[in-house]
Amino acid sequence: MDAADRTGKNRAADEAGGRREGRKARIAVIYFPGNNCEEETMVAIRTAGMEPSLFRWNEDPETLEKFDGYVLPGGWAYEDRVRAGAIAAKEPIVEQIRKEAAKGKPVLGICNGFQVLAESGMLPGLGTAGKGTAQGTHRASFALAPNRNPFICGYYCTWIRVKVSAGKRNAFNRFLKEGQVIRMPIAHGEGRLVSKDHTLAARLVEKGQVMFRYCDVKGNISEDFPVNPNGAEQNIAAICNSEGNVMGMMPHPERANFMRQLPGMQEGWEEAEAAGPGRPIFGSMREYIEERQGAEGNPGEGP
Amino acid sequence: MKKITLAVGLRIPDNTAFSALTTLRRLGHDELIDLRRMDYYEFEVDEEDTEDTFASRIVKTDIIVNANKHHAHLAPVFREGVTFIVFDREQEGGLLHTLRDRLGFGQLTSVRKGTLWQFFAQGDAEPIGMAEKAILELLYTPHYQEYVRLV
Repeated sequence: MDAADRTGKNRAADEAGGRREGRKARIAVIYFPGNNCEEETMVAIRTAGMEPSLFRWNEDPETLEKFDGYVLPGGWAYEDRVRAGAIAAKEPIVEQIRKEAAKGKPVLGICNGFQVLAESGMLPGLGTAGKGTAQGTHRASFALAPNRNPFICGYYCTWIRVKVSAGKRNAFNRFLKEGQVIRMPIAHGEGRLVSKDHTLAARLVEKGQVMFRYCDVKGNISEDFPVNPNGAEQNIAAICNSEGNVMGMMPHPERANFMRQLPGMQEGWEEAEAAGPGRPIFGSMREYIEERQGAEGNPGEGP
Repeated sequence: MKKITLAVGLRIPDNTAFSALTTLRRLGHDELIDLRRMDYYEFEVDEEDTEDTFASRIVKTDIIVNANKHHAHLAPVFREGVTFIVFDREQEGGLLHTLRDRLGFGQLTSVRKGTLWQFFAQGDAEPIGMAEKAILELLYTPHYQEYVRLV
């Protein structure tokens, strides 16, 4: 009997943590100097039925090819020097991840990982991202700017609610329902999605590329603090590319992977160990990979 | 109203400048031999203070300058290299509030903070164009920042 059956809660989330027979999906957790969420991210990947490996920034990028998916965890890659994610985004390893993403492999960027994906131009992929020339252009079509709220400058850490808002089925939302409100923590100083293109955020919403939007307990989207904790345009907390295999998100799903990680969790051990609201994202990633492997005709084989 | 400028650099090694230099070289800027960084402040004050008085007072607050690790330059002029400053378009008001309302700089009307980058190149590269390319590639984002060349 699994945790979902014992508690009767989070059944979908626990199903997301199940696994099938055959080779587990292998996920590279990309480690840059300054990251600090890699261990809990690996736990989340493991509990979702996949096999995580830490992949350091200075390893041979071409060996990334053997993995089925990639997670860029949170932290402060290169101490956020220049801007959050700016230095890491120029590393050769990110170019290799871009190539693997183009093959359809899933890439998840969490918090600082989202900042790296944003700076690299891998998101949102509306026809401009990643197409800059090597020199003299800026690839990113948006930025994650310093937080803006009426009370706190800089780093802000709290539990927030987000509303699942993506319309299209993609690599990360298979166990989430549109309109569902879930709790996750945020912890960042630069998470305010802005763009010089003032139509971008609205277009992302319209095209179904916004995965999560900051909301209140009832799911209402309000620009006001604390519902929108950082001033992001359109309350955007997470976006994906148009193909749906690359997602960046400011909240930390790996810190909401077990119910015991949620504030106010006072229940017994069994319920505490049940899947938390962040796990379905990893479970969806696993199912997406299995589906791709099945379609490619090699469900249990390693490269 | 008087504008006072102050540049504050590190006495200790500047890891941010070093990371930026390393990254720019990897991106193909082989002509770049050094890159220096400073915090750059533009203060607007009522004309009660002279520049020197204002600067000596503000340096002593230990908010902007820590004498153990920083050096400060009033009204800086850079005769070597090419210098650009990157500003956030929307400045947060925390520093102004702290200086004016808590530390007694009542004559202060605005503060604008930026990051000053000083480029040193070798070879035949056109230095201003090279520096601006580096700014565009790494040191600035058009989505919430702007940049100017200091001449």
